[in-house]
Order: sequence, then C-alpha cells, then structure tokens
Amino acid sequence: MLYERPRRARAVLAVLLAASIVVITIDFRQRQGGPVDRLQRVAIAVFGPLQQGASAVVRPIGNLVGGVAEIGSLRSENRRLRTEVAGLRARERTYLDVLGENERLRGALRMARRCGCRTVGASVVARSGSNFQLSVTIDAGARQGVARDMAVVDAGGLVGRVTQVTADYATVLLVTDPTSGVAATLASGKAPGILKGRGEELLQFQPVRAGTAPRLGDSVVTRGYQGGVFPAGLPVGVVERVDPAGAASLVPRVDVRPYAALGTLDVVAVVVDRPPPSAPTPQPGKGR
Amino acid sequence: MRRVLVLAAVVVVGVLLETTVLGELRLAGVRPDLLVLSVVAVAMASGPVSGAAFGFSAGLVADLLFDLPVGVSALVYTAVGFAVGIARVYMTSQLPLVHLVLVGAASLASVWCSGLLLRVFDLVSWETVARAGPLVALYNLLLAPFVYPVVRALAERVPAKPAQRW
Repeated sequence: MLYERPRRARAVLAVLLAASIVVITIDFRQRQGGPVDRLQRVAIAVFGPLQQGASAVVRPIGNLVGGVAEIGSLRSENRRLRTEVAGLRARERTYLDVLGENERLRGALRMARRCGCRTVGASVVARSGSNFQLSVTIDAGARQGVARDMAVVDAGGLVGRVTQVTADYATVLLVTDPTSGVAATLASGKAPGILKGRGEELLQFQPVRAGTAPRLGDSVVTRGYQGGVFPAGLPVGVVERVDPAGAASLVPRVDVRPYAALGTLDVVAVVVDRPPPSAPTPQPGKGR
Repeated sequence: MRRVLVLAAVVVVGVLLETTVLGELRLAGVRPDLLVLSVVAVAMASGPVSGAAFGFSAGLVADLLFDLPVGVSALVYTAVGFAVGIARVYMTSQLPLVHLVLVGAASLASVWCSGLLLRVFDLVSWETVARAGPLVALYNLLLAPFVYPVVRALAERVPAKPAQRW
C-alpha cells in the first residue's frame, strides 16, 4: 500500500471519522441497553479474562519496578516513621504515667476534700534509706505551707505525719513506722485508741478503754484533738484480725490494714489546714 | 488476513499492557498511551489509509474497554493515523530523533484532542487536559524506543496487498 491514491485515502478518512462521530452520538444518546452498550459489554467480557491473566503475570513485575522506584523514598520514610514511633512510644508511656498520677492525685484530693481540709499536692521523691524508719520524702515544703505534724493522705487514706520540713521538701513518717502512733477511733462506735506502727504491713490498734470489742471489717479513722492540725475522720484502715483479750493480754489485739497504698506511694496530699468550723465549702488544695 | 490478525494482536497486547502493568506504573498521575504509539508506527509503516483504519479499530477497542464516551479515541486515533500517514511522505530522514519528535507530537496532539472532546462532555477539567498532554508525550517518548520499532517492523513484515482495484 505504498502508493495509495489520495482520493481513496480521503474517502477512507471521511468514512472512519463519520463512523466515530456516529458511535459517539449513539453512545451519548443511550448509555444503557443500546448497541454501543452491548458492544461494550462484549469487549469487557472478551478482555476481562485476558486482563486478569495479564495482571497475574505482570503485577509482580509492576510492583517490583514500582518498588525499586520507591526504595529511596521508602527508606527515608521508614527512618522517619521509626523515629516517630519511638517518640510516640515514649510519649505514650509518659501519658499513661501522667494519667495514673492524675488519677491518684485526684483520689488524694478527694480524700482530703471529704473532710473539708485544705491540702497541698505533692509527689514522693524518695523513700527512706534506713531499714528502721519507714518514711518518704515529698516535694512540698514550708514554701507550700507544709509544717510539722501535718497529716498526709493518698487516695486510700492516711499515709502518715510530717516530721521534717525544709523549704521545698518534707519528710513523712508512715503510719506503719514503729515509732508512729496515731490517735484513732473505730468508725462504728466510740472506741478511742492508738494506732501503732509495727514496722510491717499491718498496724496495731490499742483501745484506750478495756472492754471495747472491735469486729472484723470495722473501719478505723483518725481522731481529732484540740489544737492539732490532724483532722478527725480521715480513714486509716480496716480491722483485719482480732485476738480477744485472754490469758496472754488484758486488751484484745487488733490488726488493722491501712487503706493507703503505702507500698506504691507516689502522689499524696498534705492536709495543711483543718476547715474552720464556720467554713462550709471545702477548698480544694493547690495541686502541683 | 494475516495482517489483520497481527495488527489485532498489537491492539490486544497494547490494551492489556495499558490496563495492567502500565496502569500501576503511573508517573505523576498519567500512564503512557501505547496505542497512539502503535498508531504512529503503523501509519509510518503503511501510510494514511492503514493508519486511519488501525487507529479507528484501536481507538474503538480502547473506548469500549475504558469508561469514557465510546468513539472519542476512535475519532482521535483515526485522525492521528491519517495525519502521520500523510506526513511520512515528507519525512525522508531515518534519524531516530525525527521519529521521536513525531511520536511526541502525535502523543501530545492525541491527548489534547481527546481532552478537548471530553471537555465538551464536561468529563475533565482544563487543567487536567493541559497537564496530561506533555506528561503523556514524555512518558510515550520514554517507551517509544521499545514499542515503536517493534510495531513498525511487524506492520512492515505483513504488508497490505499491493493493489486494490475497485
């Protein structure tokens, strides 16, 4: 067909162009059900299996080529994502930590607010290095209004008593320390006594009056006394064991398990002031 | 008959490649247009009538398979095939560069003409049309060294009947 006659060529062109336009028109007029639509479905039916087969053969190659082209960017992206993941992990740990701390701090504040006390939040920064003294150091001191003999609570209950104060730190003697003694009473009835630490998990309740009979599950709360900042009614612990008075002892021996999570102490609240009897609304402590 | 089969095979392979591997190898959002490359090759090998006929068939198949108004590619490829077939008379040079320029120009014209038609149907935006033209032309130029000589050689090996009387 090297020497096509121009006139014939033009005729072919005209026919084909006209055919195209006719097809476009038909297709545009009736998108569905028309002859063009049927033809389209035939074409798709014929090519579908071919395309599927070709894809199966060719896609891995395409992926490979595409993958090679992307390796550079993938590497840098990988690096970037790794650092991001590490950062996010660290952030997540911090976040969970803060979340828990917040929760416990809220608990401590709630605890203190229940008695309507003004409190100062603090974190435990150190535990006592001595084997003979059970105390913690907190990061609140005179500057925050902390003074000696103030009560320290956590979300569960009484933690201890402030024994030493510096400008920014204070030492808290835990209720479990053998030298610790807290004026307390059974919540169920008037049965004043002293809660003594024993250097172990449990406290010992020593009733002042003979004849009081604490029962298992009784709550023990603090007893306020004149002039002290130690508020009354702070929960301390629950009676866990009672050895009735007998031959060995004149008074019953009562073991009390503290409510405070003394083993895993991290945030606490220091009761800096008892509510004046006239103040009806408790003031939440200045959180740190 | 052999010629029809060979050229049909070219169309089928071209469409398959376009819809499978090249569809996944889009660069900047466009895929190359192997069919227009084939149309140029056939037209360069066999002249305007063959070019137009091949262009029409290839375009029709592509239209039927791709979800666009049927006939648009047929129209455009017919025009491209015919124009290239006419132009080859004036191209005496065998320099590859000349053929590449032709391929590039044909691709650009093809994309822009199709785009214009689709624009009439309000199926594309002007920006897409304007952008796609040069990109497809460039992509086609990259593939031309592998596709163009092959299709051209195939078309030349199965020549049309030398004379048709009517």
